[in-house]
Amino acid sequence: MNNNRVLKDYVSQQRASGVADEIIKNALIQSGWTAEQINQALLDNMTTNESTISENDYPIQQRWIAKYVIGNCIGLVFWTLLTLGSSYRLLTTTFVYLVISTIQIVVVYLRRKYYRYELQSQYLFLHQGVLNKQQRSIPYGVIQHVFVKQDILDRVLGLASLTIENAASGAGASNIFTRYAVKNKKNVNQDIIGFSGNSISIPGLLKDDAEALKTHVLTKMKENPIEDKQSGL
Amino acid sequence: MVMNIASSPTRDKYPLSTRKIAKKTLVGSLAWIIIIAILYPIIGVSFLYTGSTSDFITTTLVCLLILGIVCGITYAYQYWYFMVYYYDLNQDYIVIKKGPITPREITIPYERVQDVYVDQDIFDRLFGIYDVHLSSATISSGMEAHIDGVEKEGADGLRQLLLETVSKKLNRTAPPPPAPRQ
Repeated sequence: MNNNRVLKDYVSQQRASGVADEIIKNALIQSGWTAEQINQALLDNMTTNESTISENDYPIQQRWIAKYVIGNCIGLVFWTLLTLGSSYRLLTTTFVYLVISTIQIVVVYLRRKYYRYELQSQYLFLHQGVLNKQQRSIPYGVIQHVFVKQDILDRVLGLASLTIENAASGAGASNIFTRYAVKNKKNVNQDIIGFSGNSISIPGLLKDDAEALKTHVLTKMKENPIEDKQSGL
Repeated sequence: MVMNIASSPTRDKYPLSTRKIAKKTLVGSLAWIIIIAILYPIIGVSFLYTGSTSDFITTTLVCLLILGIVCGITYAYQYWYFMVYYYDLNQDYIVIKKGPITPREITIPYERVQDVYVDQDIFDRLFGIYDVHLSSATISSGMEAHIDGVEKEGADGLRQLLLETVSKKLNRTAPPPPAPRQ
């Protein structure tokens, strides 16, 4: 029983790192496995439907939206203080501010609602978009680093955000705005939801969930190394 | 106030210098020091000309008080920052975590390290401490992943350890196939 598991793990790990079936077979025969066992393991590996981790396991909390509500309230207070001198404009400006922040909160809410992530066996699969739907599959091998952070409102609400980056700056799913941001090195660490440019952000996780998800991603990265080494050091 | 250092095997071996707190306090309150250094002679001397010695003394005291409060708060914050500063070069990853109020933690696998370098800015030279930078292929890792405020031996040791581990990781061969247990 345990024996089988060892064989299965070895096969899936070698396959994931791109080793040809023949080579796996030969190596295993040399270390004493029978051809039937190996063939079975190879077959099993093709057909197994591994349970994937997705946002059902580590959901983005509803109260993450509260961050934007609180942020906008604080902004409104400052805005009111700023415009207090010209009292006849106070109502208009407050109204404009409220409209803009409501739109922002609705947009953020919708983005969160249509955001899916899934840790598939070989790719990190992401799905986002309210009107323009986007899908992205990132091989674990190209992930550069994993970043867990909490800003002050996250601390208050007990949340944390997980950011994953690959080295594709200015490519793939980026648009003109993110390219501009990267070029100016501004807003690079901005806490957006979803993916854009080279970074994928999963905000609003519980602190423990963020840590657990980080561990899962790191394990996947270890299981799926890339063949040509990136570092030249 | 007694706090525990966020200790890790790496931090125990290559500790942060306590001079880092002094340096950060100086840099953090530098703006205030410069403002007061400019304003104090102007205001203080003008009081001396008009002959109101008591005003001159008050100005001096207020300036010293502001400096003291600014330096004190900065020192307390930097002491806290120093205490929770966590870095560990473990088996597979480089983990760096900093920030007492808003923690930020970065994890980089050794295979992704593109660059390791040690530098000193002018204040580091004054205090004799070093920054060890490492970076993967992204912009944000270059900004977040550095260990600053180690002494010479620590900087050299960390750099050596990083480079050795990276090259060891890259030359790694496939694990030997498991043998069946009878």
